[in-house]
Amino acid sequence: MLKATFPHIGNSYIPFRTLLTELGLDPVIPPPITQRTISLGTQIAPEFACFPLKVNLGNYIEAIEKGAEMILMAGGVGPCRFGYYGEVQREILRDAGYSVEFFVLEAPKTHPRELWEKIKRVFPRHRAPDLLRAVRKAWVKADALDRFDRMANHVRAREEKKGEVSRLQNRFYQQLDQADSMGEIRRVADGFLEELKAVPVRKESQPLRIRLVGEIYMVLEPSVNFHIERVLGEMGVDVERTIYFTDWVKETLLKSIYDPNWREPLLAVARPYLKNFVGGHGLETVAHTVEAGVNRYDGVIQLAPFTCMPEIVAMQVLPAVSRDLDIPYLTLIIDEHAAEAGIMTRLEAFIDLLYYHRNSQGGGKAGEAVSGY
Amino acid sequence: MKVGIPRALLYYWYGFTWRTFWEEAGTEVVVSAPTERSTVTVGSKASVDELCLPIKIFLGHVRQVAHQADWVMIPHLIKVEAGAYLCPKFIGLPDIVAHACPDLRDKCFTVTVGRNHLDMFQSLKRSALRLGIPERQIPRELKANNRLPALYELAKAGYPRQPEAEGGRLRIGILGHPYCIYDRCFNLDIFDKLNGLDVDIFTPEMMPEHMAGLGSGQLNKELFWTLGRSQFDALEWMLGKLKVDGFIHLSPFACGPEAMIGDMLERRIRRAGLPILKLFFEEHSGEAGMITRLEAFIDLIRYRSRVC
Ligand code: SF4
Ligand code: SF4
Repeated sequence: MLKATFPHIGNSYIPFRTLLTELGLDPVIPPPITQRTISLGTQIAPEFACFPLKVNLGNYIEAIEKGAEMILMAGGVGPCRFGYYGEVQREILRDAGYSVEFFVLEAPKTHPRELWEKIKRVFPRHRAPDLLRAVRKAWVKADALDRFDRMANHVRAREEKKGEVSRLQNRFYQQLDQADSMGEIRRVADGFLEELKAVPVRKESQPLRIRLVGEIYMVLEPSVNFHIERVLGEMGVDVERTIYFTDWVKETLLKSIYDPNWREPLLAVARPYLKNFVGGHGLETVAHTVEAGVNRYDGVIQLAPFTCMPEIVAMQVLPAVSRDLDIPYLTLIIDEHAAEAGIMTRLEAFIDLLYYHRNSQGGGKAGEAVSGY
Repeated sequence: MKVGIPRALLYYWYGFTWRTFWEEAGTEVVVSAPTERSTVTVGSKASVDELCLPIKIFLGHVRQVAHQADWVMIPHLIKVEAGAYLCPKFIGLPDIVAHACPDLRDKCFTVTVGRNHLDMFQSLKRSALRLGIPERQIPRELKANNRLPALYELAKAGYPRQPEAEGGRLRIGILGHPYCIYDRCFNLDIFDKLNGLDVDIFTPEMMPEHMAGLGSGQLNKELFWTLGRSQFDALEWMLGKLKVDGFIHLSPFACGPEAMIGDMLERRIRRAGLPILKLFFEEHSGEAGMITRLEAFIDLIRYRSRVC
């Protein structure tokens, strides 16, 4: 069986493993991202490339060490750099002496058959029912992960025993990853959701509510954002992540096909501050910060890789949003040189500021109950 | 009515076209003076640190020309050709200006090209109508020449130079975005320094127009940035036709697209067995370092061409 790998982004390796297995490939999951991964990638990547591109490279190398023969990657047509990652990474790996095949999944421009031919060649089980079943199974897993994670952040901020939610989360990831049949997947998903609901919480607490915005990779991948959700949660902060993998698939991949105006609502929210879609998640960053201000969140944290163009445009805009809507925000720019200690100090200072801000304002009262999920 | 045009970013392609249009539409045109250190200072004071030097320079020009004009034209270039964009910062340029120079919001107007309409003339016309210029006053057609500003800058610097009788000078291909190559304050006047080293230089804008698309067309995947395509085209011309002796790549520190384009260009140049010098520029780049590297690089090429 062909050994195929793909870059890490958060917990998406769980549904991807299912998808590839179902399609008849032998998935090689890159080892969890460590300092080694990052430095392997950084050594061969251009200095000012996107940080995610560099970490991807580290994933590939470590997966090749585990025997991967093919890399699966998504493509795109701009305006941002992501659409060209595959091309650049292919050349970098080749020049660095790695022999590996790249399979870039993207909508073909001229010959729709080409994509189908490629799929037929690469995936042994490519008949329509196979594809359908594979996608469905993977999707149910992805959806279960996102539902759990959304609620986990609310509960974590209120848990009585520190670390309980994170431990539960890890167990959930492991068991979901192993679940094979549809019935088992559902059982694991529902069971853990129930367990999560049963975690003892402190009733009286009114945690700070912070929205996490920014570039998708930095938001979704805990090992590059210094596990910000967990860290903040265990400091008693209710973190609302604004990007989820399944949402991204639904919007960027699916909606954009049948509804060319799907971004209109975002544009409408951001319009007083940002009138253009600037690639990546720049528009989302601004729109979600505006919403956070209007809905009296306590604060916003923007995560951006160094040199990230859409987020830099957002950085020029956010001070005005913050001033007008009285919403404090913190920008964390991250790359291979970012040091954990520095980030933690800044987070702690920001949290102090938010408490001070809340006490002097009386804001942030809404959304106390763990509900809605 | 005085229309101010910032001499920055793609002014070096479209500047004369813009200027002709507004003059023919009966307005007085003021183009900001060439970039100086003070332009950079003004621009970077207005913007967040993270922005690249070319955008900071643009903001500096906006502020400077705002003093001399009633209106400041903000070129909002999303897409100037099918299948390719400009950088996300170009796409958000009006927003960047609005937040970096909030006091000038009422003075600025945009000329938007793309995402659907790619015709510069129609875009200019729409903006002119919005400014209240009567339709009959607007020129019916536009004599576009998107190389003139670049060629003009080259001529000012003494290029192309008179051919030398025998032996010939070293030929250096310069790659980069037009606002990196032709803004002499940005690149610390590299033309002048190369002049002193007695080499011939070639830039993407000197390439015969019919060669457009040849180099970029060979890429495995269609490139979706205009300013990247033009460099791959130029690379093909310089390697194939001109047989240059080496390349210099000029790019802003931490520029997004150039991080990738520059890397791919470099790999192709090295595969062709030629040397390349990559120079990055930011606000605090110093001349001394650049001159040393430039001289060492030219010496290296001279040495190689004598040995081979
Ligand atoms: S959004 Fe940022 S990280 Fe993603 S491709 Fe664009 S520049 Fe790179
Ligand atoms: S292409 Fe590079 S230099 Fe030009 S605006 Fe974008 S980031 Fe800045």
